[in-house]
Amino acid sequence: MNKRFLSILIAAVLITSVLAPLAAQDEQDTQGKPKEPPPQYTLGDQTLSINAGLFVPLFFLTYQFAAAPTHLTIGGAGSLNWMAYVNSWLRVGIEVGGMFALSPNGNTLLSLPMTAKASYVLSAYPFEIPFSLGVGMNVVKYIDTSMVDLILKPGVSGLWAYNASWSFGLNATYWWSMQFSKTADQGRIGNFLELSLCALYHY
Amino acid sequence: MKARIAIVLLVMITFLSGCPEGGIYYTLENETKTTDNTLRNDIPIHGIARLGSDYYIAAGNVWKGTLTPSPVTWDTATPITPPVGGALCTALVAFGADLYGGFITQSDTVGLHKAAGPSPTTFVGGQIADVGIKDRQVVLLAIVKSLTVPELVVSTAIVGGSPYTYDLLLSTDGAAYSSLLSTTSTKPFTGVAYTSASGGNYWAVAGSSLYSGTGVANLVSVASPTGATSSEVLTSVFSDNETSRLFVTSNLGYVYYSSNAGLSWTRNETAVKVGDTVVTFLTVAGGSGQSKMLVGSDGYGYYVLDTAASPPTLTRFSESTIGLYTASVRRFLIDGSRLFACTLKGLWRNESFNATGCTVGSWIQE
Repeated sequence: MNKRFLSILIAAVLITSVLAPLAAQDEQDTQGKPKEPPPQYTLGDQTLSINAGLFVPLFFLTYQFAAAPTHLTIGGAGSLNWMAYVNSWLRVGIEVGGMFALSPNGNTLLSLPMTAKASYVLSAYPFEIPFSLGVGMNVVKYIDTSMVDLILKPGVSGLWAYNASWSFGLNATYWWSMQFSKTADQGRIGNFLELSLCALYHY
Repeated sequence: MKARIAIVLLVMITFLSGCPEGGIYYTLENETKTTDNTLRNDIPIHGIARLGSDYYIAAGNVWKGTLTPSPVTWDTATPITPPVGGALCTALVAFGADLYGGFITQSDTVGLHKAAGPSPTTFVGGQIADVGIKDRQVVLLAIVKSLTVPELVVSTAIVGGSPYTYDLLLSTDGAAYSSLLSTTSTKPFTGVAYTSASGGNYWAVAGSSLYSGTGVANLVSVASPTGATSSEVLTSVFSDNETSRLFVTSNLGYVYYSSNAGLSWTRNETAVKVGDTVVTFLTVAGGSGQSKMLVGSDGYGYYVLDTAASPPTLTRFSESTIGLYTASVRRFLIDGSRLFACTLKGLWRNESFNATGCTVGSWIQE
């Protein structure tokens, strides 16, 4: 129970820390700060983003597509992301993340996904909606076992441009983590959902 | 094209080479919550004893567990009163109708104390007055069965010299004690046993030394089990009276086994490791005459030793999702089909122990 409370507390702190700049911006807007023109990003422009939020275990899937419960608690997830614009609507880059969740007996499941990522960006200033797909490896550790999975991370974000440099918003990312086993019928595909807050910096 | 195929093959090898049997998600899918009773899970259990129909554990305090009504309940609100306030019990056995506990305090040692049965409530006034015992720290407390007569064996630290020395004393009545040693040891004793073959022998381990002898003032250091190195610490010794089998555990991943009371030894072929870490084995227990025995380890739960295999094999307990899997198992108590495992993080109980194959049912964390 204490670990569960700690998870919620950490998530709350992360959420608060990301929301704080937004609150500050609201105040500035009410003080009549002039709005900036819509930014135009082109080849060579880059972004850095930090994401933190909740990790929702959904279900495991056998390779015969039978679903089974994960028995995991809701956990925490976070990531760092670097991307570069190919043109005004496509950016590519890499993402390194991590998550944790607890099992029924209080053991911690840890994952460290490292993915190559591409985002197709729909823009309607001051909002932008990037649709993303990450592909890479997921280092999974549980008790004394470590494995390397193949992972696909499709996702969508809703971002609000604070100014030409900073955007803030929400991510919903699906984790499709394919784990193979030497015992044929014991391979599983982990299906998880990451719901996170995002702070994105353009430069 | 060849480069792409090579990359695909490399990726597949990467993912498949890291695959253990089973897999993490499969393990999680099949994990069920362990029953956890009211006893704290973060306390070291130094010993457990059965007296009458009740169990007593040494966990700093001495607590009583009542079998009925099921499940076992532990009365932690009213511990057996220690001999002095703040004294911690680090060793406990039931001998005759009484409980015997070794106690220490932060400032001084307080020695061996008796709590009178059949329903002991206090160690106050129960100090053992024998000069070899009184006010000396108890480092080992055990019961051995010499020709079916239970005997109490106590190892004490003799403070004052440099280095400290350690004695090993034997009692048939709990009041008078005689040293089993011809000379004291500079290492603490961590195990004692008795085998009935060849007229009977006591066995004990202290540091890297194996002691053997027929009785009082007779135990001497003898040759270590075949294959043991001079730096290898022998952590415990266990005997099986009916067959005169002898088991010695070590800190280098071995369990030494003798089927003829120490005349010849065999051991597992290679040192047991988890990853790169060599496993330290701490204790052996099992049914009399059974080919499979339980072996407690330091930090890796317990193993099953199969002496029918040649050389003997050790197989780790497989239920990796419960805390017992990574616990330091320092003592077992087998009581019919009930099995207790004393660990540095709480007490575990199993109600379906079968000594023949060392099989168990679901573990309960007390």
